[in-house]
Amino acid sequence: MRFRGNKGEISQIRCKTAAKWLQFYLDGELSDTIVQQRVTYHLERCKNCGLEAETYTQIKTAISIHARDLDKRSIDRLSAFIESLD
Amino acid sequence: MLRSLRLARTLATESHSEGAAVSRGDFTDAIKPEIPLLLHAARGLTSASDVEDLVQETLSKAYRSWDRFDGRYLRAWLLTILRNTAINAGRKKRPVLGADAETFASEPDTSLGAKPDEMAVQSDFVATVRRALLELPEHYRSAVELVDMDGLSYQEAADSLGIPVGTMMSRLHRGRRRIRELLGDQGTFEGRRQ
Ligand SMILES: [Zn+2]
Repeated sequence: MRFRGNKGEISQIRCKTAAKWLQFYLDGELSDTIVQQRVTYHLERCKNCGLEAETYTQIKTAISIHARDLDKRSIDRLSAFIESLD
Repeated sequence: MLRSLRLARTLATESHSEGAAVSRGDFTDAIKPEIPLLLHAARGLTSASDVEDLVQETLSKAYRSWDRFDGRYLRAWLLTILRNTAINAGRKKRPVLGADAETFASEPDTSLGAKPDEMAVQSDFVATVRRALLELPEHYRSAVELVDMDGLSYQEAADSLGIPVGTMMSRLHRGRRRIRELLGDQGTFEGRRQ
């Protein structure tokens, strides 16, 4: 099944390979578009890997929410500090 | 602040015969919008728990030398003060758990889930991820923070940490996998829907 290479057909990769590339893929750090396509293809069809990708995406989102939250608090505190200098 | 400082400042301002449009009000108005930039830059210079202190110290120094600022390239001027402050204090990227733990403890936050695309991320899940992030060894944690909090690319994060990009990637991926494991069943998308 793998690398059958019919025209227009994306060859299959295994779960292990998909897992290896998953974080690069989600971070937009896969420069090889062929690999990118293969990972996309796999994630769309494999339930387990699809859910795993969903979970990692939500971890990334949770951390960025946390960052914005921390930033907001810091900005408020530092703004008050500047006012206190006045 | 100190009356003597203010007096000195007034005198200093008066001694500027031209281009002396510097006043307290100007300082506040000019500097406030630059706080986010300073926080961002400070993250690359010190540990997460020390970022706010570093920026505050920078603001104090900027305040004291505001009269000597020529009114041009405000950001460059501020960033120079920031860097010098970081260097002078001999700051290192080192974890001090107390400060962050305090911030983490103050749950729940009403600002969470404000954006529609983030509504799906439940706040208890966010809180669990935060705690898991705190439990990571520092070298994993800083890699995750630079990429997921600051949005740096792999190469930028590696440069910022002064390590090869391969090392950065392995720390980042292991760190996230560790978080994923700590989440356990809560980590699975399906598990959270039940
Ligand atoms: Zn799979």
